[in-house]
Amino acid sequence: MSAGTVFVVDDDASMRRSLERLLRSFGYAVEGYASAAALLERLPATHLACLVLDLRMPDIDGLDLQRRLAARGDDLPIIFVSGHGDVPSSVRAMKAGALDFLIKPFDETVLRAAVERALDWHAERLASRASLEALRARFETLTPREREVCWEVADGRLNKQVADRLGTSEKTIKVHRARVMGKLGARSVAELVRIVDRLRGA
Amino acid sequence: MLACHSAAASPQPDKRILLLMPTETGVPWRSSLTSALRAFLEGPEHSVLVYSEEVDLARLRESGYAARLQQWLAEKYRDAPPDALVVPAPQSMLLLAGYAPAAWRDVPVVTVHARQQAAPPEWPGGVSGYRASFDVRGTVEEAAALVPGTRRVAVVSGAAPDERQRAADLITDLRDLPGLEIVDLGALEFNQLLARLRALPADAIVLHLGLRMDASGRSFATDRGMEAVAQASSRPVFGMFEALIGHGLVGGRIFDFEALGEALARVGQRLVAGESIDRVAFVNADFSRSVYDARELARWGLDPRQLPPGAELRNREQTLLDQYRWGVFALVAAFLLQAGLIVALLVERERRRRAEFKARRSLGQLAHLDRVAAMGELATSLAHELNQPLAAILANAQAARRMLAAPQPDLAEVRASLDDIVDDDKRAGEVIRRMRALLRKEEFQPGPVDLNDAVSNVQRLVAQDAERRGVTVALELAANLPPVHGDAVQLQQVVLNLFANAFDAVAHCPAERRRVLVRTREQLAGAIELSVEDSGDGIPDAHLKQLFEPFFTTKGDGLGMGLSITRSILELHGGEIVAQNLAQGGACFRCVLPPYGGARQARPRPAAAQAA
Repeated sequence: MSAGTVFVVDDDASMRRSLERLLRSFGYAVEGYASAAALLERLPATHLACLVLDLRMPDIDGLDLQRRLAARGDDLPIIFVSGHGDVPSSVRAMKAGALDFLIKPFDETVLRAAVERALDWHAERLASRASLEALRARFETLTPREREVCWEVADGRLNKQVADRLGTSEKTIKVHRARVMGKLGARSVAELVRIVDRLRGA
Repeated sequence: MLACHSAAASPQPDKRILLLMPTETGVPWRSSLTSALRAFLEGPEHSVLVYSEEVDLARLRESGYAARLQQWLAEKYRDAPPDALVVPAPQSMLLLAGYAPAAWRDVPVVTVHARQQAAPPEWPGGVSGYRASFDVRGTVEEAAALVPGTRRVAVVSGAAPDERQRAADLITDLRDLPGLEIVDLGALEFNQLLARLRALPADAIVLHLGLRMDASGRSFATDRGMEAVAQASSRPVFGMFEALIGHGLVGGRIFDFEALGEALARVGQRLVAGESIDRVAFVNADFSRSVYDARELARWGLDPRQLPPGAELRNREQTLLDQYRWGVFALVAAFLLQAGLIVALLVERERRRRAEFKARRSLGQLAHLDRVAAMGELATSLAHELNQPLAAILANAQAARRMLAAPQPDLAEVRASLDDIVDDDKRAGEVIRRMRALLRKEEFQPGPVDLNDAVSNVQRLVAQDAERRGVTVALELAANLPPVHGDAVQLQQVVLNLFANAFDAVAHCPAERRRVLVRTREQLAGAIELSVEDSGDGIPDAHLKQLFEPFFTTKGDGLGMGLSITRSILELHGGEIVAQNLAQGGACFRCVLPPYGGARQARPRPAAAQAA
């Protein structure tokens, strides 16, 4: 079981309370909010968490909140719950990255599985985010020349080609490349290419 | 044809009948007889010429008068001899041979022959007519029946020779009446007569045979003489002359001279028409009928019930019916008309009541279908509203079960779960109750209905729908709103339909403009008003009129019955609904309903309630 926080947003107090209780009984930390606005004030969450979100709410509804979180770059995983088997809404939610769409009423096991999946997903996200941060930190230690060499090598050029483009000797390039690989912790050129891809993609 | 033609070409010469009257003009019966006779003969049917001569032989008895009369008559009628003679008095008939010109010997005679006389007179041209006379005996018999204890009959008559003769003839009819003494007062001077009449004994009655001249030779107009006689007499006066009635005569067997006149004319007409005198029989006839004066009966204290059956009662004390016959008829007719009208109205009312009942029932069925349809449209929202508590109940129940499975269960939290379960169950029950309240299919059940309750109930029912459609609903319900008179289900349906209508009206508006405002208030006059305002685009003027017509709809999927049913329901409740556009945009549906118990029923004011 992943330890993590489950945010519950539902304008129906009774529904919200029942979800909180159930989720708490699974051993999660639970925070309930009566509206999307209240949650937005609380976020962003830096730790492992997921969001159980009522699709239909006054003012800001579930899909709206999903959009706002995405706009903020918040990748908090979302499990939608809805009383309606409203297909268009669920499709939109899933396309926008929702992890699950539960139709009320749902069994505890369904909810638990969905939350587990969401937390796992979030854990992964958190982990990958953490490794990327580490890579970035290492990349920051490169000199400007070393970064140039790094991009050229990652683009698949040979030392000689790089030396020609940068107007220096092949020997100098070799020295820079060794430093880059050392600083970034890459044991082969292939590994370096992967690291650079991650940095670029982020 | 030919005969007809020749008859038309040469018309028959006029036939002539000569009426030979015995006495002078001014005798009352003479004119009735003459006019009846003339009316018959001179009518368009017969057109016989009637001539009339005053013979007056009774008074002018000097020798030579008859001869001169004969000469004069012959001269007068030389070129126009009569075809028949009518001699309506026995005396004149007896003397006819003495004054009729010789040329008339072969002319047939129609006469009336008094029964008291032995035999009808002979005449060369033939005699026909009636054997009839004054019913003096019948008169006395009826009088005796009317006046108990009658022993004497005092007979009043004139002193002229013909009067004496007639009186004597008439009195002979009375001779054999048992136990009656006849007292003849005919040969007296008038004042003596009156004195005798004043002193009549209590067992007497008076028989008046007509008085033209008294013993002193004084003449009397018939009615004047009668009045004096009646005034003087201490006993009731009976007689046979119509003219005496109304002048103090109690009544009697009155001789009908009109009938006699017509009867004589009939015979005369047959004779001049060419019928042979031999074939026109001389017959017995009775021209008398019982006629009495009610006022005189009353004056003498005589009992009208003693009158013979069929007797005519004149001058009767008029009853209300006699006096105001037409008024009474009109009144009765008016009553009958009114009664008829009332019955008709009752029948009509019953018919209407039935029709109304039927209309109400069919409205009820229609309204029910409309509600079912409306609930169908709400189904998604209602499902959600039911789902919400169900989902919460499930989650709470499973949470509680898990909590109890823990080594040290948090019982307070378990209790909280159970409390929430109970609340949610009630919540679900409430949704179902509200739904059922609207889907109920019942007869119209009027009673006091709180319109505010109806609005809140329906508002809760449509709340989910409103939320789903993004419509903001605001309620402004008047405090202390008096109840209206009506059926709760149908009135909720009105609210539901107006809600649905308003939701549709704002459906295409931008989210911030989807507003519906429902208000209740008591009007000054006591009626209760419900208004539903929306912030839509309003109703096009062209639609305002048809808005409440059945099957009028602007929606692609609508049946167009909602507003029509709404109006029908309101009309059934004695209310009305109007739609209007608001100045600020949007439409307003305003319903007005009569208060429960009518406007008279005073409602305790809140202040008064508090004071109490």
